[in-house]
Amino acid sequence: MTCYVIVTPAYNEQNDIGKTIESVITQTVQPYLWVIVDDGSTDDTAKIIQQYASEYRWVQYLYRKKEAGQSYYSSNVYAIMAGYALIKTIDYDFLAVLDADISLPKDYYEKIFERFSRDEKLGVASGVYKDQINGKLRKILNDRRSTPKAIQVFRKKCFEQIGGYLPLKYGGEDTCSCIMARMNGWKSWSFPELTVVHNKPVGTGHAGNMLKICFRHGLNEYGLATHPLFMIAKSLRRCIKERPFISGGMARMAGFLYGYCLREKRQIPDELIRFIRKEQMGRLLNLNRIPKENRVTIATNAKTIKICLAASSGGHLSQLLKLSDGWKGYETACVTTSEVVRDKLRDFGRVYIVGECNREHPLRVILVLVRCISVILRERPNVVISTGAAAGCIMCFLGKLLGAKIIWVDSITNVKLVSLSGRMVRYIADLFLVQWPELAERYSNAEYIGTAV
Amino acid sequence: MIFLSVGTQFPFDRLVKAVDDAFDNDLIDEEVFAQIGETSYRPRNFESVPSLDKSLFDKRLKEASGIISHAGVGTIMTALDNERPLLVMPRLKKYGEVVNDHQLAIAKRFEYLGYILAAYQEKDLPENVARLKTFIPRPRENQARIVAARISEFLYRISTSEEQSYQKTIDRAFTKSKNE
Repeated sequence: MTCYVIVTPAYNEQNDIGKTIESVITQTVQPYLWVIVDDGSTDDTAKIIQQYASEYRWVQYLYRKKEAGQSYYSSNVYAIMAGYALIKTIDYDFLAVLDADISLPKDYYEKIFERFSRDEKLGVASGVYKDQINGKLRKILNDRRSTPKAIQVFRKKCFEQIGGYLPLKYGGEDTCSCIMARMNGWKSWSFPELTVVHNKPVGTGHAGNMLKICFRHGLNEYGLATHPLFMIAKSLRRCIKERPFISGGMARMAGFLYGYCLREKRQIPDELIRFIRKEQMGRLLNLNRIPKENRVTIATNAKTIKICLAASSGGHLSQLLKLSDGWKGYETACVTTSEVVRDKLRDFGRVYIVGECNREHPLRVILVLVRCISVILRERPNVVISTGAAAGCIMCFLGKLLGAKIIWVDSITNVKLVSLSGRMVRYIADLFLVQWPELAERYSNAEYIGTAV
Repeated sequence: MIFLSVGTQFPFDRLVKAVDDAFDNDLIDEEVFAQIGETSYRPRNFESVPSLDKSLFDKRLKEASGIISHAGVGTIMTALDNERPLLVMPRLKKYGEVVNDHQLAIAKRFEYLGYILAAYQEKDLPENVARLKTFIPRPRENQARIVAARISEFLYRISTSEEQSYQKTIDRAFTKSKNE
């Protein structure tokens, strides 16, 4: 059994911390201890944490008084290190750092540990998080080797070797910790297939905020001793690769130059600066390719199957959802025909509404077909499960074209004959279930084991 | 209170009228509330509405002492899930009430299994309404779970074979790089 501990710094998080705590409580693997450090909050954060701490004995509340002269970022680091002081004598395997405004998927830690077990050189790992920017979820562009502090997990030995986070005035302690891990011969990796949602929208208001963030990133690049040549290349790349286009990259460069003008003393050791610059020049020469010895290949590409559920809203869908135990634990996306059932599907991944169609309206069929094609190209499922009707049938055929396995469960309303869609899908289905014993006798590859209702 | 429902898609006046007539002959002594669809038929003896919101529908269904309905899969599923005594009258193809006789087959099967009561003609309705009062549906084995288990097993096989084929590619890549 994996033994892990979590440290969470929290400063005025009353709106989000409840969600974060709930998402840890429901983890498939529970932590041995979780220290939540209240970094001098002035709102109800303390009350919320204490309430959970009294209910769960592995949740521990720690108060740390705000100290004058510490920037927001370095204060955060001191809070984590204060929490770390409490746990460092424990014989744990992994140390997780978790921000107080994150909702984790319930198998987040389980999956991270599974990846650690596949590569013993992996010292620090994380998923990637999606930020809500202007109301839309966006993945943050990042080096695969950088792991965001908000969801970082360290192997114990790795964290001890690097000696924890360095308090940096402008932030970037997470990137820095990854570099230090690599300097000590570890690998650091963020796994793109493990996505986590950041509750607190960053820069929800207007683009202005986004530019400010970019500017700060530039400033913190200066603090991390980024090589000027590398910085120019990076800013140019971000100009075209990341929103806001052009201006974002410029703001980064501006922040970096501003840092140069200030000429503040950098807070990292010289040895680290040399390592950072060596790595960066290497990346420039190799056109940003990650060197072989740094790559984590086994786990990143590990295939987990992805399932597409497709059913017309109404009876078809309710029969399909009765079988939801069947795909428990797999990643799913749904295709249905009408907006009214969206709410029913909220536990089953992304929902696509493709509209109603039937034989009598050929034009609508074409419209639905086009939408289904776009869904299948986006999702690329390994399995399509459907109860019908027309839209489900279309999804099955499109899925088959892309090599997916097809599971068809014919609706219970078809008694003497399998539905028209079912009769077509029968030829391509890998598992064809019917709900009447008579039908299983009638069709050679049909299987009857019971009803879905 | 008995809840009478004919589903939301099409009216089913034959059932509504049968219940109404039973009232006239003093064969029903309970109150009835009905959801009857968009139809011109107006019941004389009980309150009715054309359609109900899903949440209101569920509330009515849960509060009712018994349910009378068409043999639609949706209504049967909801009633059985809520363990309500249910009497169905299947819509029939010969009256143009539905495109095929699947409701008849479903009614027969579920009645045979002891889950519901069924009235196949209007004249059978009153006696079945009387039986509804004391009818206790047979506890249902959860067949959906068996079907779900079948799907789960199938998916497991797919995922492990994908995993294996992937692992093979990786191993091959490793041995290749070693040889180099």
